[in-house]
Amino acid sequence: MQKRTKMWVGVLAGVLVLGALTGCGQEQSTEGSAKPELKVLMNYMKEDPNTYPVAKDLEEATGYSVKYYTLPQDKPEEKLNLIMASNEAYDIIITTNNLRVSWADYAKKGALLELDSLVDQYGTNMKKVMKPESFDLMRMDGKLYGIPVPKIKIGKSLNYTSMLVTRSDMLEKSGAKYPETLDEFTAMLRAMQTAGADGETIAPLCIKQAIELPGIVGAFGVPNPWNEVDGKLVNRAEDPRYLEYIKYMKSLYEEGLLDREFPVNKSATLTEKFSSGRAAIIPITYSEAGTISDALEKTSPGAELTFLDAVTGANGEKGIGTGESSLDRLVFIPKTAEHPEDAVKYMDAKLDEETFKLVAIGREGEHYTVENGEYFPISPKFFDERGSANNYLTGINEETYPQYWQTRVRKDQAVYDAYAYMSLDDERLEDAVANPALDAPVFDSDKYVKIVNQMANDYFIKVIAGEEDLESSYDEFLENWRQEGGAAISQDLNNWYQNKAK
Amino acid sequence: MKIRKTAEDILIDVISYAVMGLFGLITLIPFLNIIAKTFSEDWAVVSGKVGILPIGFQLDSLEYVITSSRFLTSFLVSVIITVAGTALSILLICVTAYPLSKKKLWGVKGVMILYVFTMMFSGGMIPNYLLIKNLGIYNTLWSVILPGMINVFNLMIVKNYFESIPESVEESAMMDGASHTRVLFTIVLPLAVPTIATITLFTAVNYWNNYMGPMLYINEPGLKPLQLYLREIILEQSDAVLSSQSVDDQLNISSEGVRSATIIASTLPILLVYPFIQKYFIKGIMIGSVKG
Repeated sequence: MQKRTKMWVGVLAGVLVLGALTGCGQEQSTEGSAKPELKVLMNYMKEDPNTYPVAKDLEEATGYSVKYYTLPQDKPEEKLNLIMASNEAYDIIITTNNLRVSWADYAKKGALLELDSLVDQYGTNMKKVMKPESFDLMRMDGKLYGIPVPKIKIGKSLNYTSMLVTRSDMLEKSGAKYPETLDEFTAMLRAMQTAGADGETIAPLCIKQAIELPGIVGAFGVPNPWNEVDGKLVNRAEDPRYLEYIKYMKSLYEEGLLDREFPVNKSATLTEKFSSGRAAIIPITYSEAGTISDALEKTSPGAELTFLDAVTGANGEKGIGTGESSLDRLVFIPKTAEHPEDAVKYMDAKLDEETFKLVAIGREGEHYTVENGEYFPISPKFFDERGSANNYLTGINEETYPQYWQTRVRKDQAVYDAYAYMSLDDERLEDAVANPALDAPVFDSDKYVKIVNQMANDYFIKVIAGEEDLESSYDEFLENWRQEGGAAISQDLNNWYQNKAK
Repeated sequence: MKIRKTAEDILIDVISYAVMGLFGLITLIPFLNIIAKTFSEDWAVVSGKVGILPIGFQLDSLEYVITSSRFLTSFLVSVIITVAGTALSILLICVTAYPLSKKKLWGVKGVMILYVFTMMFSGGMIPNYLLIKNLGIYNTLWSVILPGMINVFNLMIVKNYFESIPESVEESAMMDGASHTRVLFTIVLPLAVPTIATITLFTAVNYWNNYMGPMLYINEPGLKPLQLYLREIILEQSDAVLSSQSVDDQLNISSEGVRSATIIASTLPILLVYPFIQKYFIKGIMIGSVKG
């Protein structure tokens, strides 16, 4: 029976060797390191950032070898809290702007490194390509606690990214006029009830739980979550004009013009119903235009996407709201970082003109071509090797990036057309209403934002679906909303807003 | 002597088969739907026209998934964790259960109580996290293999079986000059093969399916096991995640066809292995109830 013992010993040995191999995977010796290896924590990326082509190109261009780690996709703030609390020594942390409240928290608690002196010393490129206003967004009490990665601005304000869209064939079939006022919009909905596939009656307007429809809610004078009334910022939940909007939506629901299943619809459901002719109007972002167009081509050849511009309301109001923050991502350095100066030098090197272009769009002739100053991707190499490149950015060249970035939108002609329509077309840009709460600093009360927003959304969905009566329950709701944090947020925001206006 | 079945018996049989068969088919339908989506063309999946049969036929999604390096890496990582974890776990459980099965040994009861205590109380997420960090195994595969490696429930099952082996067998071996180790490996273990096999199965499936540990303790993308990878791919489309992404990021979401292909590619190995080991599972479930 020696065989059995041998077998067990063999297994044990093999297992221990495997374990040693995987365990030892962490230590990497840097050869002749004048430049130390940097540890970068970034948000979720589909591919492994260590093996993605951008990583290798960056290493060659800057001379720094970097090990990348990723946060999980959902609730990254929880994992980040754990990481920060256990003093992990990452040199650079990149997160999406959603974690702004977490970032502010870490800064206040002194867990982040102040970067003023480092940026002054090593950040020549950074200061050249990004405006001081962008840097101001990463300041708390005047001190710089991070590097901004701003969103792209084309025109006077941030652009809106989603609109209502309908199918050209269904619009024709219904015989309705392209709506320019709210009444025409309602008339169009009524006409479209019979425009369903195979002549069946449908509820033409199909939405998800987000009940604020771009272009329609603006017709009631409340295009943004916070709107200015006599110099003060008022949240939609407190605004009587929004209540008028809710009553309007409720009337649509009762008339059968609004999909009854809207409280449980998912994005996929919307696309399904739209492409199979069971819905006529859905809200989409431009990134979804590609898949929907392709599906439409096969299910209903000849049908095209027709965007519905903002309509004018009874009081002559019109507009589509825009984003709340000019930042796309946040970059910061924890106090426990082992190589902060090198981290800043590395980030600065990435913003060198050539290197930045290399990261953003790759090499000419290999990843992209240039025509009349516009960049066109070479498919599929561009998307295989630069599709996720935006995750590596720790700052952008505010002047050149808008052009480079458009290469990404050219993934699909339909996506580009949608993007161009929403963000490059002058008429559309006129409809954009700047968000008055744009780039407000992070307040203590921001921790209530999610709760009160969810509360308001749930309540108004119930009102629209007829489960709650607006007249009798609104006061109670408003009292709750204020108590749960709505009042605190409103106060903080208005304090900031009044001081800003001076 | 054959027991003759009455008409009543046959009727009950027919009804049972029919009802169970129906339930079986109903649970099969979502799975058939995923398979159909894997092979259907994209436009059909997006328009929701895919039922149980694929519309159009393409192998692109499946090919894309199987050749994607992240899928292969995650798969390999899962295999390593399962094989290494199961082997170590079984070895340690056997070696621990053997002395614990000797009732006359001093302190056996006390040690057993300590083990059972850990089964009922856990430190909580943060202390566990700090423990893993301080042991220096954070961000390595050991952080997934080590915790829970000696599953006390399995330990007790094995210990009980060892206790049921008559002492005379061991005594006679020791009289012939066998050491304890020899007795364990050459006499006791062979007798306990069915039990060990079942425990191996449970442990292996546990390690294969585990994603809580990796989610908390592993940040390095190259070390994330298959379940975690699968979860991330599927979550891409969840509304919670979508609403937190910039439109730019949304350009990168995988199509639903690719997601279905990932599910199929991940589930297929277990599906293929399961029919062969199923009989051991069934035998094993009864293992604790019958003595000897």
